Amino acid sequence: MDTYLGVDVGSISTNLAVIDEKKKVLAWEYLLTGGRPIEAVQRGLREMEKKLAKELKIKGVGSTGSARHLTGILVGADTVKSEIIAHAVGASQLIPEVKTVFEIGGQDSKIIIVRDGVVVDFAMNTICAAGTGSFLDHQAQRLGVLIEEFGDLALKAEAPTRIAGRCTVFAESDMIHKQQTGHTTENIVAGLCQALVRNYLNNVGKGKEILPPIVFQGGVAANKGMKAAFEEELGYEVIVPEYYHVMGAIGAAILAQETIVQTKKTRFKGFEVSEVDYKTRSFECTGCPNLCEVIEVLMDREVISRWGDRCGKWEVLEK
Amino acid sequence: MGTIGVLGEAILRRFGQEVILPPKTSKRTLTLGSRYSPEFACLPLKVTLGNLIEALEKGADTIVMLAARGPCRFGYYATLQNLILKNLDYEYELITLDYDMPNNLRKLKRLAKGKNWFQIGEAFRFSFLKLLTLEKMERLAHRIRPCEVKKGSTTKAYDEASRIIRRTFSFRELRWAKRKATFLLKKIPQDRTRNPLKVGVVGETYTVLEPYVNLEVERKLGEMGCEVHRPVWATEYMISMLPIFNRWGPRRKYRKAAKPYLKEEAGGECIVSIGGTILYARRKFDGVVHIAPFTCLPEIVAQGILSKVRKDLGIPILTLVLDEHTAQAGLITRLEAFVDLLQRKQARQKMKGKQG
Repeated sequence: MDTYLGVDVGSISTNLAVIDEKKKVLAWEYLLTGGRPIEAVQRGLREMEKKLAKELKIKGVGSTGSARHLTGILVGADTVKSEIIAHAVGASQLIPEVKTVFEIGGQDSKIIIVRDGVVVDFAMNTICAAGTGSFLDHQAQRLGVLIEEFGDLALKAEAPTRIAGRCTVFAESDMIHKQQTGHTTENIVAGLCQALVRNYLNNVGKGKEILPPIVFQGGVAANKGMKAAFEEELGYEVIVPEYYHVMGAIGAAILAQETIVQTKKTRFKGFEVSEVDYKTRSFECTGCPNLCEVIEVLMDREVISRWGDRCGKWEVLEK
Repeated sequence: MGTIGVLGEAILRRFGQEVILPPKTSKRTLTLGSRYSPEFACLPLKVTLGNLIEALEKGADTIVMLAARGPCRFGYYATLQNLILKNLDYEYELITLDYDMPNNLRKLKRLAKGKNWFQIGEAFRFSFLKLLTLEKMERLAHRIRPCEVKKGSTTKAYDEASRIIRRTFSFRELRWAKRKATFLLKKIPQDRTRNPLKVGVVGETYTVLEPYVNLEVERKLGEMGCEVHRPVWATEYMISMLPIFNRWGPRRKYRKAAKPYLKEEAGGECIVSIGGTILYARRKFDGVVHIAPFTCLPEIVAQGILSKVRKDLGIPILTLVLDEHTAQAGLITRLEAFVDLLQRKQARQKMKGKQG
């Protein structure tokens, strides 16, 4: 059977998904990047190989996420696309009539507006990480609540407390005051979800036309409290797909399938790349006062790619 | 300031002055500039302050600055930067040119080292022509870049072309340089079968014109397959600064186009950003990229209005807010996604056209 692999390497998590010819998800893998994208990809590939039946053949590979270029070189991707397109494609596959996609991950959050299956507008959080998963993570730690239990706890709240959501620092001091005056943890947790939703809609969703059906994906979609808070704020149903946390990888796999239709032949280097010795190193170019930080990728001690310079004098290796 | 510096250099050289150009804007410029600027000042102030410091280090003893009536905060740059530089104990003379025309003429006459008014006029005419030639080359490069066969060849040729033009200081040299530069650009191998996307780049003048500051947005768009057009050009900007052209100058068409959304100028290039976007939408452009420095009020106003323009006219708009960061990943992700969006839209329209 012919299958397609999608790899989404983000700042917090690395996700892989394998789909078949009919775009059905056969297997997925979710692991933490831990600041080491190369290792994460290799680990993911190793796990994936174990899960897949031997007779499956990978016909195409797509990479996405903030480390998409590095990953693309590593695995030999047929298509390298930004996470915005990948997420939109993934969501449209699941719900073809989708009009709005919310994606909240660890360090960034986006809103994607889709009309007739095409992305017409998008936005990403700009200045800070407020409105992302790390905001919730940080506050959960303060409250001594496990992030996995966060959502269920929020749903138990009877009267959510209002908490300032503009900035994590404001939220924290607001939250401590509320704790000291005797608000229950459930109410505070639910209040935090609402604060995050307000923050998201005011910053990322500013000026965007939010219409149903709405798909909510990314790591934070696991939080039921967030889904409830979105539904309350917007008055629409918010759909959390089954594979909400690997939607980017699914999208990348679909994009790979589209590419292969045209190019016919994959550049995939095979699962063996998980055993190859890849390294990256960086140096500062002193050719001009820009002092660009140039990054090199080495395969078996041989430089296979470089980037990071403004003038292009180091980019000789890429075709 | 991007290409505007060329104008000043050429005029003063023709006056017989020795001109010290600051080194090309680099990370060092930015570091110096932001070290001595108020934290909340806008990016152009910081970068130009860095430019001035680097020029003074190279031995400049006089600074000539434009101090407009204040299209925006730019109006107080000269005053503020003068204050900062004096506090840093730099010794130099500051000559500001502003809206006080008789006074400006007196200052010019002094700068011109005894040249007569005809010679001064010729100096201006030459410099303007030189700038215009440079911009012509830039326009040509914008058209060629999306069709280049080898990635980066246009930028290389344009850099060479602009070097040739910048070296000229007489009408005759300029004529030769123009021919040579045009030839350099035209001989780039191109694939004319491609159908590049048409993208307008609007926004605050400085950030649009200075490639270091906007992280070479035009080059990136070009290499992703977009033909870049923009309403902001140094020559047009200079013309519209002159009081006589204030009303009837090149900005008029933008003001007219923006009328349903904004009746008055809101400072800076606000009206050009809005009017330009509307004109591009009417010319069936695929999309518009809007650039603004962080905390720039005129462009914040424009951003708000542009989201309405997008809804009304259905043209995709991407706003990029620039600040001191030099990491390109975020910007590239947004640009890539935006270009992808435009390409998919174009492909879909083509399919529809074939069916219908």
